[in-house]
Amino acid sequence: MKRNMVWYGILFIFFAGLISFVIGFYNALSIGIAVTQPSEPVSSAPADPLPERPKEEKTIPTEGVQIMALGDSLARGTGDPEGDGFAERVARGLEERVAEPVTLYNFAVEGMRSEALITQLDDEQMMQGIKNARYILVSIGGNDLRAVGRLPLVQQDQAFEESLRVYLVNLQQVIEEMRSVNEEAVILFIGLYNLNYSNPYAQETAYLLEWNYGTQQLLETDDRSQLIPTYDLFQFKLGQYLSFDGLHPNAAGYEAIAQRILENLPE
Amino acid sequence: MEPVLELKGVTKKIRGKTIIKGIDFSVKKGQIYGFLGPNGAGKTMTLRMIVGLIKPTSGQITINGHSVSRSFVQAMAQVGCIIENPELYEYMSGYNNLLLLSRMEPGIDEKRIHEVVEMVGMERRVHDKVSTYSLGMKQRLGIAQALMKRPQLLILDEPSNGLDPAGIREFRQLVKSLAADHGMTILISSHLLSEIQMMCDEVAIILHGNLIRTARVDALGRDQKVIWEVHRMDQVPLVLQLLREQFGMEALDHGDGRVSAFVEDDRLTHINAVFVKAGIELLFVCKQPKNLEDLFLELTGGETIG
Amino acid sequence: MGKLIENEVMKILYKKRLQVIAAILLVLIGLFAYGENYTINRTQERVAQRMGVESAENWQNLIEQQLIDLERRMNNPYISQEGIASLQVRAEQLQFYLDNEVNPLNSSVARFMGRFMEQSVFLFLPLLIILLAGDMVSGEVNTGTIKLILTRPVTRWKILFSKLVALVILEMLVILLIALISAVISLVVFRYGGFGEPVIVGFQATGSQLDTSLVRTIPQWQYLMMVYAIGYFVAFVIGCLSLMVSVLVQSTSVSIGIMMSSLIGGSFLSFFMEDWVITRYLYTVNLNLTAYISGSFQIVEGLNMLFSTTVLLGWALGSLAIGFVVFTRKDVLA
Repeated sequence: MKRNMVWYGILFIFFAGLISFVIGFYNALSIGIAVTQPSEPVSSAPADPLPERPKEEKTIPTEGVQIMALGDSLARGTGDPEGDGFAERVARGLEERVAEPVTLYNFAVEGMRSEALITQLDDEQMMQGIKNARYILVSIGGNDLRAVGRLPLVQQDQAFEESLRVYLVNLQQVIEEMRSVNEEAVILFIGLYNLNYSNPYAQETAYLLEWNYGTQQLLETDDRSQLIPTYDLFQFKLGQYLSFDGLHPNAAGYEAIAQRILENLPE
Repeated sequence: MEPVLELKGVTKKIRGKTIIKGIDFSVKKGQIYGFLGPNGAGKTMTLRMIVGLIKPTSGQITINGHSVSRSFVQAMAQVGCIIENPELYEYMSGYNNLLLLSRMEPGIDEKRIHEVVEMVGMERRVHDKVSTYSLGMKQRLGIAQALMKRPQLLILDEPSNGLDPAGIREFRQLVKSLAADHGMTILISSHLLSEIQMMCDEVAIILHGNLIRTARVDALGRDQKVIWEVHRMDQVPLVLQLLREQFGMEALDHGDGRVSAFVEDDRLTHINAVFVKAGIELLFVCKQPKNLEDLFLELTGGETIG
Repeated sequence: MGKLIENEVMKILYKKRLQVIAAILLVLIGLFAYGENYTINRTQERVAQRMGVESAENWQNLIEQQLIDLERRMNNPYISQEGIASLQVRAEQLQFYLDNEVNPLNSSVARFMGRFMEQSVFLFLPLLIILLAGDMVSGEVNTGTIKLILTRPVTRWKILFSKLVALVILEMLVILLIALISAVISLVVFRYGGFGEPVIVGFQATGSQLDTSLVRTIPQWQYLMMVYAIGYFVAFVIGCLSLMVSVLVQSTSVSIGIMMSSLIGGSFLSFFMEDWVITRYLYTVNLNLTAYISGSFQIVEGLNMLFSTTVLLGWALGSLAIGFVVFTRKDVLA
C-alpha cells in the first residue's frame, strides 16, 4: 500500500513536471530560434516584445557647441557620486562661457582600452557625431597600462614596451580617423595620474611618466590636439581627489580635471 | 504424448567456433530429467538457449509446442528457472525481489508469494536484504522465484551448489514431490552423476558440445567398476586374457597388480570362479561406485575428458 | 508495461542512487551558494566604490544614477536604434528594481536557481545523469540479474523500453531535486524570492557585433521554466546515450568511464579545434543550450539553438536505435 503511494506520487510529480517543461522548452526554442532567425516575425514568442519606443525622430543637431566624450571609465564619470564626471562638468562650464547651447555626447565605456576605441570608431553614426563636434575629450590608455602592472614583475619591462608601442599605434590611428572627418575639432587627451606618489623610484611611476611622455610626443604631431596633464594635479591631493575605490576620482577630483580642461580650451 | 520440452538439432556457433553441435532430446511431462556433463561441456550454454538468453545458430527449441525463438512470451510463460547462481537484487529484501519478479508475470498474487516463501522455508529472513543471505538462502530464494508462477517446466542449473548436505536432502525431496504431486516437469543439470542418479528418471549426457547418450538412469547404474588385485604380478596378463576371451571385456591394467573392469553384479561370481579355477591367486576383489569419469570412459571408449 | 516501469524505478530507488545524487547536490549547491554570496558582497563593495559612495546600502541612489546615465545615452542622437533598444531594456529592468524596492546587488532565489542550472547544464548535470543511467543495463549484466528479467515472459524491447521510461521519470526527479535544493539553500542564504523580476533575453551576436533587436524582458519564473526545461532535455539526451553505452559494454565502470571521457574529451576537442567543422556535431559542444536564450555570446561560430537541439536529438534517437537493436539481439553469456 505504502509502495503504491510512493509510485503514484512519483508519477504525479513526473507528469506535472513534464507538462511545465514541455511548455518551457517550447518557449525556450521559440526564443532561441527567433534569435537565430531575426528576419522572421517573432509572433510565437511567449513574452511580448517591448512596446515600441516612440520614435522621436532625433534630428542630429547641427547648431550649438557639441562635445564628444570618448574612452574609459574616467570619461564615463565612474566614482563620481553625482555621475557627471569631468565631461558633464566641462559642458556646464562651457555653457556659462559661450552664448550658444552646449550639448555633450558621452560614448565612454568602462574598462575600454585603446584597441576597443578603434573598433568603436567603425560606427558610422558615431563618426557623424565626431564630424559635428567642436571639442572631443578622450580618456584612454589607463586600462592598457594597468594590465601591465598585473603581470609578474619579471615580465613587466618587456610587456610595458610592447603595450606602449601598441597603444601609440592605436592612438595614432584614432587621431587619424577623427581627423579624416573633422579637421577643426579640438581634441583633448586626459593624461594619467599616479595612484602611488609616495615611492618615486617605483617602476610603475617610471612607466606612467614614460607613457604620458609618449602620448604627449605623439600629440605634438597634431596642432589642434593637446594632452591635459593630471599628474601634477593629483600629486598632493590624492586623499582629497580619489573616490573610495582608490582608483577613480571623486567629485572633487573630476571638478579639478574639468577646471583644468576649461582653462586650456581655446575660445 | 507431446513432450514438454523438445530440442531438435540445436547448434550454437560463437565467433566461428561451434560450441554446441546439434543436440536433440525431449522431456516428457512429469519427468525429472537429468542433464549430465563435466564442467565446460556445454550444459549451461544449452540451458541458456532453452530459456532464450542465447539464440541458437540453428535448430529448434519448443516448450509445450511454443517455439522459444518465435513465440518467446508464450514459451517462457511455462518456464521457471535458475541459471547458474541464483542471482538476485542484493540491495533489496528477498520479499521485494519476489514482488518485483511477480510483476513481470501474469497471475501471481501476494498470497502465492507467501506460499512459495513458506515452501522453501524462508519465512523468517525474507524481509532482510539479500546481501545478508548465505549462498544456501539465496539458493532457496532462487527456487522460490522459479516456482512462483507454477511453471510447467522447471529448469535448475547445478542446483545443489552452495547447499549443505541437509539442504541437499531437503531439496531432493522437494524436487521429487514437485514432480509427483504437482505433475511438474523438471530439467536438472549437474556434473555429479550421484546427484542425477538419486533424483532423475532419465538422463542426457553431454560432452564437448555433443550429446553422447540419452538413457534411463537405472540402466546406467547397473554396471559397476570392479577391481581385482592379484598376488603375483606375472598373473596379470592371464587375468586380462581370461576377461577378454571368456567374457568379452576390455579391462584396465593399473600396473601395480590391480586390474579393473566394468561388470554387472550377476556375472561377478562366475568371473571369480573362473579366476580361481585358472589358478590365479587373488589378493582381494572390491567394487567401486561408478563415478562420472568412469562413465565417460565407458561411453566414449577411453577418450579422456578435457 | 506500467508494472515493468514501476519495477525499474523501484530498483533505482532501492539502490539509493537518488539519495547519493541528492547528497552531492546538497554539498555542491551549498558551496555554490557560499561562493555566490561571497562574490555578491565583493561586488556590492566594488560597485559602491565605483559609484563614489561608501556602501551599497543606498542602492536606490546607485540605480537612479545609472538610470540618469542611461537616459543621457538614449538621448544621444549618434547611437543606433538597436543600441537604444538594449539601453531601454536595461533601463526597464532598473526601473523595476526601483519600483519594487529590489536591491539588484543582492541575489535572489530565482536568480540563484537560474544561474546554477546555467552553470551545470553542460557538465555537472550530465555527470549526474551518467551516474544514474550508466549501470541500468551493464549493472544487471555485472550482477547477473539480467538473467532473472530476461527469462520472464516479456519481450526484450519491452524491458529496455521500461528502463528508458524509468530513466525519463528519474531524470525529472533529478531536475526537480536540483530546483528544490537550490531553492531551499538560496532561500536560507538570500532570503528573497524574486520570481517576478524581469530577465533580459534575446541577445544575439552576429560576427563581433551585438545585435539587440530581439532583446526583451520576461519574468524570472518564466525564464526558470525555460532553463530547467532545457536542463531536462539535456538530461534526456545524456540518458539515452548512457543507456546505449550501458547496453553495449559489459561492465558498469567501463560504461560510466566511456560516457565521462566522451563528455570531457568532447569539450576539450572543441576547445582546441574550434575551426574544425566536425566538432560542431559532437554532442558535448551543443549542450550549453541555455546560453542561446540568456544572451551569452556564442561559444563556437555557427552554432545556434535550432542546430544544437537537432544535433542533440539526433544523438538521442540514434543511440536509442542502436541500443534497442543490440539489446534485443545480443546473447547473454556472462
